[in-house]
Amino acid sequence: MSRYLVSMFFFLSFLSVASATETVFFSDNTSRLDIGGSIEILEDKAGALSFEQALASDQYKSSTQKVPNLGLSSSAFWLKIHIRNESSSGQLLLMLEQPNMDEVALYFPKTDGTYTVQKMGEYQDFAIRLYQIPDYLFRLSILPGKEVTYLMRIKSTEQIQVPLVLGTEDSILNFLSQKHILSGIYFGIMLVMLLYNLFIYFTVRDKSYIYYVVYIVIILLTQTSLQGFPFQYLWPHSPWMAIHGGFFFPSLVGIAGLAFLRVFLHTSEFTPKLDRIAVVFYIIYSISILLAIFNIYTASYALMEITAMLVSTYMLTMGIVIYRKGYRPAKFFLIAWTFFLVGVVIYIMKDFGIFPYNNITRYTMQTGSAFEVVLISFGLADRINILKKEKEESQTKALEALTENERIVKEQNVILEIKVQERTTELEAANKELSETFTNLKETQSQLVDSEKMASLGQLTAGIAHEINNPINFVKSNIKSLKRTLDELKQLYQQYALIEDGHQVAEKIAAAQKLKKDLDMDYSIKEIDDLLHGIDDGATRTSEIIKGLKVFSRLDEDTLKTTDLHEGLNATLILLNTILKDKVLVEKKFSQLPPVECYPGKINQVFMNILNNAIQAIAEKKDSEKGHITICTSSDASNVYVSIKDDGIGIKEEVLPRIFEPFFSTKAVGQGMGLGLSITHSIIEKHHGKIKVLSEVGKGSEFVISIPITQQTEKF
Amino acid sequence: MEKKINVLYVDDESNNLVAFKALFRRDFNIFTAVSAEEGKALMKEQTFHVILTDQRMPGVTGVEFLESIIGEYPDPIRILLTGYADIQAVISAINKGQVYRYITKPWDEQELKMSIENAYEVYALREANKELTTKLIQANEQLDFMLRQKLLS
Repeated sequence: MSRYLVSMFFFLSFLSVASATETVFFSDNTSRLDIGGSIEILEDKAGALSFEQALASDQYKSSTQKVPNLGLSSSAFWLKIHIRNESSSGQLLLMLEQPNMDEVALYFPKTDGTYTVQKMGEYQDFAIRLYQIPDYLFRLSILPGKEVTYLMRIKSTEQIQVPLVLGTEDSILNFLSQKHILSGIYFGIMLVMLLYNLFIYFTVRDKSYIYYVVYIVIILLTQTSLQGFPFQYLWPHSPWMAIHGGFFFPSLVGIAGLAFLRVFLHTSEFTPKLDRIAVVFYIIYSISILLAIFNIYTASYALMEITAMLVSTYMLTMGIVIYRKGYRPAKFFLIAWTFFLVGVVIYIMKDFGIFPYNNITRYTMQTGSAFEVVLISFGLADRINILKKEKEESQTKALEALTENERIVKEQNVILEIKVQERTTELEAANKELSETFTNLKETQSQLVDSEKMASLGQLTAGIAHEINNPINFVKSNIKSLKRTLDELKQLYQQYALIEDGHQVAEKIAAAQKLKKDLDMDYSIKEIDDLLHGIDDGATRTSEIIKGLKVFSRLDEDTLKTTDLHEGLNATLILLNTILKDKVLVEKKFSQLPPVECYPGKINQVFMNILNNAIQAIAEKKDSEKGHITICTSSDASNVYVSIKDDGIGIKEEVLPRIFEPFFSTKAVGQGMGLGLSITHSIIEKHHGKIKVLSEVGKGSEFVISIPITQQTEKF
Repeated sequence: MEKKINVLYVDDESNNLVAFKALFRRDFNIFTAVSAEEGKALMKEQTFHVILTDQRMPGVTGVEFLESIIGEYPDPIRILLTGYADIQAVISAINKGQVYRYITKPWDEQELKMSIENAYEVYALREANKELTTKLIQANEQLDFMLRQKLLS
């Protein structure tokens, strides 16, 4: 790129009108001579002049510069060089130290005065050169003391500078070797930086390194193409690349440099507005490249030069802006960029003649670019420091976060433990409450069951009272009667006893007989049997009822007992006798039953409930005929079955599913709690038994209970 | 000792009948019946002064029995015996059976005896009243007759 910066200062041609024929005097004192200031130059604007026309032309102008600068021109230039060899050597070398000429042709005078031509330049294959170096070398044979005029035709699409050097072969080759050493050093630096950054890229995988590597490659290509090396080594057989490369590389350097800078300085973050301008430059550079491809060289070159100036300003601005924002890599970039610009400035000053044209000043641009590359590399390396620092910071932060996390986790653990403890306490309390509630419920249930039992007992009491009162009545009454009869018997006995003394026997017998008749003793004697039978009967019946009550209301219900269910059924029937006897005929179809393990009191309650319901169902039918209750018992290997069937009113279909619900009753208010069948159901369930109901309205109901013969579970 | 009071006792419990007879046969003429039908049959043969009946009997209750005989035999004094205090039975006994007494079992001999005697007293008074009324009517008729004769003569 720098070459084009330079060229901008040389738009004007520094040519003056030739006054006299310029001659180069080459003596032994001077081993190497810059002859640019001692030649005459003819501008052939159309490039159409033939050698003869050029040779005959009088339009030549003397060169005023040591290195003639012909600017950017599509013209061909003819250089007339008079050399007077005052040295002792007959063999001299003429060097055009400008490898980027499109065409270079040297016309040699032959001994017969005619000229022969030797062509070089980018239009020619590199292999034809006599000396395989980027600069153009021509071997001149001038006998000592002789004067020869050479004519050189040059043409270039690029900036044309004509550093012509005349010297002995030795001195020129020495010079060139020194120059190539410097180039080698430059290559070395650049290659090392390239490889170094490439390795770093492979190590750290930071994309700015690969951008940098690309940038270095393109800088290298650009800078070395100034020396003509790519043509020599990379595409020696491609004059097209040799010509166009000079247009591609500067644009590519611009693009790569911008791209690298944007990544390197994070411009999109620091100066997003400035950053977006870069796209414009990419487009302009691309246009410049396209123009070169279509051989519109002048426009391409002009566009590239203007853009290069703008881009360098733009880059500096961004560097300064970002540096001010405190981003350290910007410092490295600014220093590097300054070095490069200084190199460029010195290079230009050398061209202006402020600095002498020597091997140092000639390479300031390369030196600048080398420094730039190295310094930016430092910047990149520094980025590693930044990254490392950032990483350390983030690690510290992560560590802090971890510590914090650990602390939080610990705290959470403590909180959790407390919560768990609280929850456990709560649960325990709830559990306790529940078990209390459960106990209460159990108590309530047991109370309900008891009260239901008492209620059904209460219903019975009236009947039982009558049932017991009758026997008691006649027992008590009979005892009184017997006592009276006994009194009378005693009286009669005493009367008869009087007879024993033997006095007035006949009278006494008559009296006794009279008494006996008065007392109606014959009847009384006869009556005694009836009375005793009545007492006996009454006592038996009373004790039966009491026994029935006892069986029914067994208080030993908390323990499982093997019981004859028939006993319970009979006891229940006895208690129900008073209600039954004038309304219902009970038919018992008992089969042989094994003793059943059960809670007898509970089971009797079941029988009582079902029988009571059956009696009520029959009573509600209001038939004049007696109702029927059939009780069937049967058993199989594991269960006993008790079926109680009545021919009462039956149960309505819609009511049937609800009959076992607690407090469900079809009876009028006050006539039952609606607990009977519910309790029945729960009792059967507790016995792991089953209860089934078959019913038809108007025909009656049948309750079938099945109870396992043995219970495996705990008591309730 | 002359027994002038005829008592009928109806009860489905024959033991009660025996006991009753044994207890009171010395004081009253006791007739017993084990059912309402039997009682009614006896009443056709014999005049009773006092009728006692048990309330709870299969088929016909005591009140029903008493109610059924009022029309034909209004004079005997009716007493209801029952094993338990069934208020409904009491109410219907008074309203329908027009009982003189309501006595619960087990009975107290003295109370029962007194009740029967009192009942008979009522019966006797009614009878005497009836007789006197008849006599009065007769006397009245005679007086009427004599008055007419006097007027005629």
